[in-house]
Amino acid sequence: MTEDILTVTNLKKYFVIGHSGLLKRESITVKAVDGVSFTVREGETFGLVGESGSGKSTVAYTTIGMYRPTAGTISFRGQNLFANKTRPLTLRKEIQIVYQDPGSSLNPRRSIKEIIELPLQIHRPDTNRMEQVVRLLEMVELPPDYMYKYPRMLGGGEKQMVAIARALATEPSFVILDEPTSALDVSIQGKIINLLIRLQKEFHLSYLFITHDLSLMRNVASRVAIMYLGKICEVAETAEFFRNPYHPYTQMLLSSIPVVSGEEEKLKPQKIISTGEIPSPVNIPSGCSFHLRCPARTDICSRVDPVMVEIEEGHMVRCHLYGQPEREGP
Amino acid sequence: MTVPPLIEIKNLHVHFSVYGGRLKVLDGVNFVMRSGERVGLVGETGCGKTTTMKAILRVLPMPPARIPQGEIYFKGRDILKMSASELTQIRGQGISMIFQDPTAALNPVFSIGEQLEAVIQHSADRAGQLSRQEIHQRAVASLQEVALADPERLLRSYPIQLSGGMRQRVCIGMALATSPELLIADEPGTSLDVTIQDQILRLLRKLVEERNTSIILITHTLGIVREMTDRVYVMYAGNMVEVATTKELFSSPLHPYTRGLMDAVPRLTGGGVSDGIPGRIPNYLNPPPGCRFHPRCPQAMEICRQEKPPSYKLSEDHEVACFLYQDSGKGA
Repeated sequence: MTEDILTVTNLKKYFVIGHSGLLKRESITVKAVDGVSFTVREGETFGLVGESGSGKSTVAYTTIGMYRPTAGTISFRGQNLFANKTRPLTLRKEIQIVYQDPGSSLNPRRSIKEIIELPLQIHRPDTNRMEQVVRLLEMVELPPDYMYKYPRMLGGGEKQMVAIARALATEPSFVILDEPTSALDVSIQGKIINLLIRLQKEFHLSYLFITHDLSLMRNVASRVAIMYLGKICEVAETAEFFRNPYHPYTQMLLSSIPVVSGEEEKLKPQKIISTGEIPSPVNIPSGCSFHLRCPARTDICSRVDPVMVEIEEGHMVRCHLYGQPEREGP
Repeated sequence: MTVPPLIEIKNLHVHFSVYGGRLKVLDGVNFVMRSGERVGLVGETGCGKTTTMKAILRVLPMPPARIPQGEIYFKGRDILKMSASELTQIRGQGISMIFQDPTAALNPVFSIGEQLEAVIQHSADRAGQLSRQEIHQRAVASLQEVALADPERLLRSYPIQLSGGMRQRVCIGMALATSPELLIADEPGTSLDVTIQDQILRLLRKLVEERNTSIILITHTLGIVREMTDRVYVMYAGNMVEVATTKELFSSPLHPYTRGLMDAVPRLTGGGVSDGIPGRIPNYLNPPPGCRFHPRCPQAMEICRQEKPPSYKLSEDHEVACFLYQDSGKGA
């Protein structure tokens, strides 16, 4: 049995975006993440999928330490990430991130060498930096002379490889990939993805892979979770997830994907057609937040928020259609 | 007498003058479409898809752009030789365009109503006078057509008050309000979420079918092309490298670039991701000689480095610009 490396328990992150009322100032909050729980196992790729505004990046940024959670905890190998006011270096070193757009995540005024060196200076001051930079560039299949270049001289794919090298500089065990290929062309995406898979095997990395691309998840993740408006609606092993999508939102997402072959077409749920808009996270609908767009909604959906239930082993769904436990009134 | 094609582009070259030289972006583009067709145009970022379409509408900024060679015919008339007044007639009534980013396509300081009614007013001026009332009614009708609820209120609101999906619907309504013969849709769903993109594309398909409008759909997503079009042009670095019916292109892609692109798409059926195409799109200041794809091509031959491949016609509707098919097709 593999062990859990990251455990997120009932994570909430609210942002105050303004105040209402003149005398009785009540704050207006965006519930970016509202009660999310999941675990990432050692050595796996956990896919977190959602549309814009679903809160998937907020989960990532909270994990890396850019935000403190409003409620809930994240623990890494049993250690609470928010036990201290500032996170100890030993923990920071273990968790690294690769951002979506390498065009803006690399400092344009620093050479590639300086970019990769910085985490080495902080986390591994005793190593021979030049040697390490060369080794890291080799790891991401870039020639050593790239260290003297600047980000603007590289293509999008190459920049992303530099960002990966920088993330690996601290020798982390857990890497957050926040849409690492969505700013890239599909012809380049494959190379980055296969590089990430190879590095994962070589260094036994665990990935939290954030994306909106379900077809990509099918090929990369070991388990997939779907997020909608700050909550997870479905989690399952990848193969099971695509064979039996239960949640109506998952079905809607799958049926919306443009595919390139007939075999894929057969995998798409045919009965569900995408309708409605994604509501603003400031005004989350009552009850189940998906009920306004849901083709299978019933009376209870607008009143009661469903809880997560396990339908099959490892396959969890949060929907009234699937045996909600008994509880007191609405 | 034969009817001229709706759009015919012959050997179009477009160059951009920049600091340090001249970008040779389009390198002899040929393109034909008949009335009523739904044509897809696919290729990676920066391959010249949008430049080609902007050339059709003559909205390329000149300078820096220059068209040293080439002809573009709209129903037999050369767009590049038209006077300004002839052009205004074609824009809107003949050809409309939907852009990738609806936020940038709408003016933030005018209400939806002001922008939409201006378009209707403009095209009506030539067709005969319309009263304010009639213009307003047409604006309401065109918003209803794109399935937007409460059009009266929408006409009074500003782009910032609408969601991305609604803005794109407004843009579609605006493009179709003048009943164009040809609609150019430039990545109409790319900036939107996948469930919203699906809605927009379904709406677009329905409207185009109902009105029998011809459409050129520009995208880099092969799946969208497969679902939306009858025929596809594949573009690479300023050249059309392959054209075929959608069915044929997806069942038997021929050009090494098309094949690489198809392989690179992650499948819902799983099975891992292919490495994609090595290298990246060439620099247009000094594009590679011969076939512009040869530095990235797994099957490049000696001739590819020296000569530009002509388009070989392999069947009635399958052409490919690659020396691999030199013997199997006749030069077109």
